[in-house]
This record gives sequence, C-alpha cells and structure tokens, in this order.
Amino acid sequence: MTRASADPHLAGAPSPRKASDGRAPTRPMDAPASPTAATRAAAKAVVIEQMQLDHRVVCIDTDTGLFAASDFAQCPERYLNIGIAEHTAVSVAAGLAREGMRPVVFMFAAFAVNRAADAIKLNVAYANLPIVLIGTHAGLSAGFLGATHHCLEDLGLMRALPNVAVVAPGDALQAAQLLRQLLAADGPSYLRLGRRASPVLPGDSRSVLGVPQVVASPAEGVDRSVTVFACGPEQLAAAHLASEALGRDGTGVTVVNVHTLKPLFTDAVVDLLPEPSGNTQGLVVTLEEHWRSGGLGDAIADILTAHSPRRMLRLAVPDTFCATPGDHAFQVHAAGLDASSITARIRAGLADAP
Amino acid sequence: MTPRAEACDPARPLGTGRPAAAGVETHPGPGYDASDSVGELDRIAARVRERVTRMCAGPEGGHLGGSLSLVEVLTTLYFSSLNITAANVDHPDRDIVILSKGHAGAALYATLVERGILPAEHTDRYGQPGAPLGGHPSPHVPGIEVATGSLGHGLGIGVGYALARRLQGRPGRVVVVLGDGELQEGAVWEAALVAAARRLGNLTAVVDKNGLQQSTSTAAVLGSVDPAAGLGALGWTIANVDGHDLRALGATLAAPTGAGGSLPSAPLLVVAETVKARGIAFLERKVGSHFVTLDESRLARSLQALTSTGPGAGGS
Repeated sequence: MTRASADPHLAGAPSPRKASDGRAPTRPMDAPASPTAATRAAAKAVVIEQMQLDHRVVCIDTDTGLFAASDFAQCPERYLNIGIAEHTAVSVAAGLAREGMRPVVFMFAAFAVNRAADAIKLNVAYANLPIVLIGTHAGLSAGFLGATHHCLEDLGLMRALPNVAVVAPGDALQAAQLLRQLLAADGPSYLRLGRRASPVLPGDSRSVLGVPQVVASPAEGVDRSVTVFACGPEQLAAAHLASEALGRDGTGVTVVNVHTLKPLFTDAVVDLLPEPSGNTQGLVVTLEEHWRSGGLGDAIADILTAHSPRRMLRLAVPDTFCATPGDHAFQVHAAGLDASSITARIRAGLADAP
Repeated sequence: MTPRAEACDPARPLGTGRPAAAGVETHPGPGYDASDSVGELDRIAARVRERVTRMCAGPEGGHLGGSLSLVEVLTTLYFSSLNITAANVDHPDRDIVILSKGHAGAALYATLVERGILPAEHTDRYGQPGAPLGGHPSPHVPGIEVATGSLGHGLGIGVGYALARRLQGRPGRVVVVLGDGELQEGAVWEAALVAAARRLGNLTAVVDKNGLQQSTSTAAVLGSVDPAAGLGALGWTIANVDGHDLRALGATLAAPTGAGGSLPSAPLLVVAETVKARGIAFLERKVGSHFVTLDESRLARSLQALTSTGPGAGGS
C-alpha cells in the first residue's frame, strides 16, 4: 500500500511511481515531484477529524479562508473565526486552554509569529498551554504574493521560545501524523505548513515527533561523504534530487528529514553522522526555506559545535528580502535553493574541503 | 483560611481545571454580603491599601499609584461580586479575575492575602531577590490565572475563558481589569470586537480610570477622545461608577442578568472613576506616583496619611 492511498487525507493524490528496486524513480533534475498534496489541506482534515473525536478540540481561524464551506458535523460551535486579529486569536486560545480546551489556531505564517509574538511568548509559551499554532504559506510558498507574505523567520522566532515544539513536516501525510501527536501533547507547538500542493516523500515510514528520519541513503558500496539535514517538502525533494545527482558522481549523500526542530536531541543528530575516516570528517549540509538566522542551520550548528564539530555548509535564504515578483519555484531558485543550485553548491563545498 | 502549602512553586502545573481535593465546595459563596457588610469591606480595603504601601517600601519599590486606585474594585470583586476563595481557587467553576493591568500586581497580591489565598509572609518579602512574588503577576502564583504586565493581553484571554464556559455549559463570570491607559493598546480593541460580536454576557471588563499613565495624563495622549465610551458603540453595556465607593461598586459589579434571569446578551464594561495613589494625599493624582520606592520617612508619611483618612474616609 502506498502512503498516498494509506492516508485518507491524501485521497485523490496520484500514487507514487516506484522503480523496481523500491526507490523513487530518477526524475529529470528539477522536474516537479509527483505526487503532490497540500500540507495545509491535510492539517485541516485532521483538525475536523479530531474535533469529532475529542470535544476539547477547538478550531480557531483568522480569516484564512481554509475552512470555507467546511462541514464540522456535530460541532460547528467549536469552529471560531476570530477574524483578522492574530494577536487576539492567540490570546483567546490561551483562555480556552486554561479552561481545559485544546485549541488549534490557523494563521498565515507571515502574520502569525511576528504579529502575535507577544501573545505567543506570554500567553502560550510562558503559560505552557496545550495549544497548536499553525502557520500556513510559510517559507517562500506564498511566492508571487510577495515579501509581505513570505515567512522566513518563523522557525527562529519560535525556536527562541521556551516550551514550544517547532515542527516543519516533510509532506502532507507527515503533517497529518505530527499534528495528531501535537494535539495529544501537553504543551504548546508551532506547525509550519505550506500553501499549494507540495511533494510527497517516497517510502512508507511513520513519523514520530522529535525523531529525525533518514529519507535517502548512498547506494551500496558508496562512502558517505555528505549528510544533508533538511526540512520542508520542497527542500527535501530538492535534497533528494541533489543526492541522486551527486550519487552519479560517486559522492555518497544521506538526506535527513528534520521535521521537528525543537526539541532536537543531540544523540538523534550526532548518531546520524558517519564516523570520521582518514582525513575527512564528511560535510554536513543544512537546507531550509528560512533566513539563515535562527532556523535549522542554527539548530544543527548548536549541536555539532558542542558535541561533534564538522565542516558545515549552511544553505538558506540569503539575508535579504525576496522582492522580485515570482512564484514559489522562482523564489526558491532565486534563493539558490533549487535542486540544481544545491547540487552545485554541495559540489563546490566538497571541492573546498581542506 | 489556610494558604495553599505549595504556594508559588514555579514547577506548579497550570490549568489543571480540577478541584484541588475531593469535597471542595463548588460554590462556597462570596462569604460577605455587600448589602450589610460595607463596614467590613472598608476594613479589608484599608488593610489592602496599607499592605500595598508597605510593599512599595521594599527594596524594589512598586507600582503604588495604579495599585491604590484599584483597591476598592478588587475588594468588591473578591469579597462581594465573585466566588473566588482559597477552597475553590482551582475549581473549574470558580469565577475568574484577570488583572490585565498587571503592574497593579501589588494590589492583587494584597487582596489575595486578605482572601486567604496567599500567605502574608509572601508580601512581606516583596522585592527581595528570590521572593515568591514578582513585580508583575505570574500564573505560578496561586490565585493568579495568567501572566500580565505586557498591556493589552487580558481582554483577549478573558474572551477565551468566557467562550470556554459557554462551550462547556459551565457557570462563572470572567472579569478583566484594565487600565485606562491600556486602552491605547490595539489588541484590547480586537478582543472587544470579538466579545461584543459573540455577545459574551459572562464577561465583564472593568476600566480603572485614574486618568494617568506612566509618563503623563491619558488626556495628554488622547485629548478628549474617550476610548471607554467607544466600547459602548461596539455593543458593550457601559456602567459608570465611583471606583472608591464600595456600596456603588457592589451594586455595579453584581452579576448582570438578562431576560428571565439568563445571561445578558452583551458584555459589561464598568468604568470606575478613580484617583491614582488614592489615600496618600501628597501622592494623589500625581504622575510620579506610578512607580514609587518609599524610603523610611516617606513610608511613615504615607502610613500617616492612610491612617488620618481612615477606612472609607475621604469619599469622592
């Protein structure tokens, strides 16, 4: 059974094509991944499902439009569109949670973590309440909508707050799985989602909060020389393509899906690194649709600096606003984060090795 | 009443929503009847006022002016209007007070001491390093619902509490205490719109209208614009009251009822006209009373001023 057909939230998505060896088929570089599904659609379905199962679950909306014409069946009163008021939506969630409810707050990422930051810090994080904050259209996924709608700082802002779990699922199924786990957790969390349909990861693995997953390994007999830590569907898909291209060079690449940026345990990262061999320790690459500060690169660097210093290549959105209009793929390419650019940057990184 | 043994443990779990122990009364009642106990409420208010004044003589000082303007409001809420006691402080059906103007935490702490929810020793150590009570309320302190002090948060949180009670079909009132300067924060207005639109009759906001904020008067900032009156245009029911008149406060803050004894169809805004630093004549209505560290001689003068006016004296 493929993942697409195994999960009702991916119903209608085409099945992943499998090569005879079970690995995802080789695609032309930068060809659109297939199948695709929207992480936010999966999250919406899970919330409606959980509202039916658990009378404590309350869906708070901020006029995102995601729930237009949604059927809440027996519990329409637990869908609360607070309006275009992210700060208050978060504060309302805090009051509900203090009274035993389990609120999920849907916001556009670009307006969620900045505008409501004070409410998140004090009313959610400090109070350590079981609230799931969901930011859709994160990273560059708002594309043409422009720099006002891009969100390249959310992982950093949320990682900085004590108590808050920070989760960036690798695909729609993972978004569904991890959201169910977040709803069952006792503390607050931030779930970073995209906008349009995004690539679906190959394989059938189940996701567990806080446990990074290896999603691509070098072919048998090829030494591991690169470990890529990536988060988010587009970046994982790009990393996958880059690993295939580098594999054809004879460069062994492991791709790790870090869907949970916090908590991120030292052992879970260090144990995935190859033992240093000869005069090479291998190259560690981080890959994220986020500004360089505060996100996955910092999270991995924090761990490696203290426990297993390695040469790092941190691939992220440059320290600038993405002001030129263009769709998501255009923005990712302009930021040097498409598969071709990543492949070239890793090759250059390897060539620079001492 | 015995204060809770586990007072002020930072590791205390929050939001249990369950009774502290079996057999806790659901509705022990306020314990005081405002109709014939104003003399007793006067004495409570006087003790709260003295305790706040002494706290502001601690090593860190304190927000004296905006605490003293609020004494009668808090006394009325805790001893007349609401069901909040040491026995039910964690009960799911308790009434709720959210001190959105968190800088008046000293007044809230002193009131919680009077109510038997906090031990008096806690306020005696106010301002000392490592003491249980900080400059602004924290939910790790028994009787404190949420952390406040960053202004503009309380009303939105209160809306959440009120919605939860409605969704769960549970009783209880939610009262949010705001400063008049705090009404300059935009988030207050976001929350006010939601409360009015959703007709939260179990929600009351009290504005401590003492006319001053940290650096100046509210009129110097907003001129003749009266933000509290603006809430009436949004669908709130507005009541004005002398914020130092315990009898009037008791009537105004009594649980509002709608048709047939049901909840009213609009949230209630009580505008309490108050005097900043009320009770200490040489500080009253002074901008400089906002944050004060009373040295020994000024503490003595302040206590003398409180004694000379006496409980409930001064009128308005």
